[in-house]
Amino acid sequence: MIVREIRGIPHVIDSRFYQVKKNSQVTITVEVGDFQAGGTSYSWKGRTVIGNPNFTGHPVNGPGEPISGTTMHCLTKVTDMRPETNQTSVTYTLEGGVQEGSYPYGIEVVEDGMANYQITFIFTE
Amino acid sequence: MNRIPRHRAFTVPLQRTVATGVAWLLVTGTIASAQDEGPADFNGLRTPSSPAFVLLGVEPSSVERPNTPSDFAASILSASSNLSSLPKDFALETSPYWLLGHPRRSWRDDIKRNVLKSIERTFTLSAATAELGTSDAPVRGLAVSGRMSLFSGRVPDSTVKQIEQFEQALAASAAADIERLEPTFAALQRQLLAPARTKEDSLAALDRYTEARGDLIAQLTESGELGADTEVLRDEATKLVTAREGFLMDLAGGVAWSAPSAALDSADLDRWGVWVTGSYTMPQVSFVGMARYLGVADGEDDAVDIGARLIYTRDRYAVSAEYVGRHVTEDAAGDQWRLAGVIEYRVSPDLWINGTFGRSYDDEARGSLLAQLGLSLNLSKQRYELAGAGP
Repeated sequence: MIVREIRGIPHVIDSRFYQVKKNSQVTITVEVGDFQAGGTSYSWKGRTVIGNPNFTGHPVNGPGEPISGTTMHCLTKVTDMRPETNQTSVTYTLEGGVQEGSYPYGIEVVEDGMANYQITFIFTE
Repeated sequence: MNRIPRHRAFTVPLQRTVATGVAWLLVTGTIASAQDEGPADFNGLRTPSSPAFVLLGVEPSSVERPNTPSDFAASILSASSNLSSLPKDFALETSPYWLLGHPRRSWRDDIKRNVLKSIERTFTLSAATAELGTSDAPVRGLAVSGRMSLFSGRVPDSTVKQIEQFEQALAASAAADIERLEPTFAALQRQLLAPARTKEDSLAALDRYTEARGDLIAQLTESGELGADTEVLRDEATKLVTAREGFLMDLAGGVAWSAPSAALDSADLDRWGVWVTGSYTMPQVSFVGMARYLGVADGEDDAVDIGARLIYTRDRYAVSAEYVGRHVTEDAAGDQWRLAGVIEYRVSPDLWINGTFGRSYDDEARGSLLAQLGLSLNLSKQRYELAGAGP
């Protein structure tokens, strides 16, 4: 994982392998924590899906649709709106593969600041 | 984030402002100044954010506000020379719940709170020391206090909707960025990850891929191809108001000691205080009631203050009526009370004009009728919260 501050906004960037089986149907859950506001979108096989504003148990591939060898790029934008804390956090949870994967990230921002979480998941057998 | 006062007020006694004074003469019929001493005004009775500072009678220029448990420990150890002495001119304020991160807690979990959650999320601890004596006879004052909200009301539906719309805008902004990035990420992946044959190679290639994506994101952001709407989103974020409405009740208490020669084992109980503030806040009407008990060690000047305020707000103005009564033990002068009306008008987002008229505490004394004009300047540029509209 790396953190780049670009134009005053910290970008948390990471890449992960997520092991799947041939017929796995993978779901994604994105939780924006620390009582902050955030929204997520991802792209998979050239399709961009906009979160509402995030995802809960959302299927990435359809039933029987191959997922191994594909990549999902997630981007979550979070804004500090709490007077009590400037901490931001995002947890990505993938289910349906060989085992559940939970990927927590967090970073402190300036007051009323933003943070971008750019996490890529590569599905492998 | 900050719990400092939202705006600073400049109040001008009526007799010092000739032009505006004429208008107020017509309203009140009497020229008088506010009492400079005596019982506190209504807002002075409200549950203070740091009762320890009030008990000690100090307004610290800098207050330690640790954000993590380790920062908290460092503050204490540093100020007290590793717990070997009573610190001098030290002030600390912390909220234990917010010292730790809560990565699985959404803002939706905080729309409503039960009593336990309210206490957990609002409890703050403050402590302060100050030199109260002279160089010849030093006396170190020490105060410790706690504050909590027993009832926190709820986040208004309008605010929930506002946050939901803002989050949707964040998701849409993320979609725009990810669409721009995806083709280039795919090219990087083919270039860096495809050649890897072993697990070790793949993991090393994954790190290089992450670095390369970071470089690409920086390059495209600097060139304006990513995050084009960042300033708009930042602007929208500053408009998010997280004030709560409904029934709110704050409880605070603190104790102060004085220690001659700054020796901890010589500290004697000096004074204590308890504050209770209850309010019911609706979009346009708010009611605030409060009680304060201040006790002193000899027990002769213990004081009980009780106050209430009704506030009506609309667009650019607010009208309120307030009452404050005080009972002091062993006071031959008897009970005192104050009744006042307050009008506030917003000239601009940062500037309010306010007028106060009514009766001050001692109706026998000259100047017992109130007539004041003042300006409230929102210096902090924070989201505006009407004074008296809720804790």
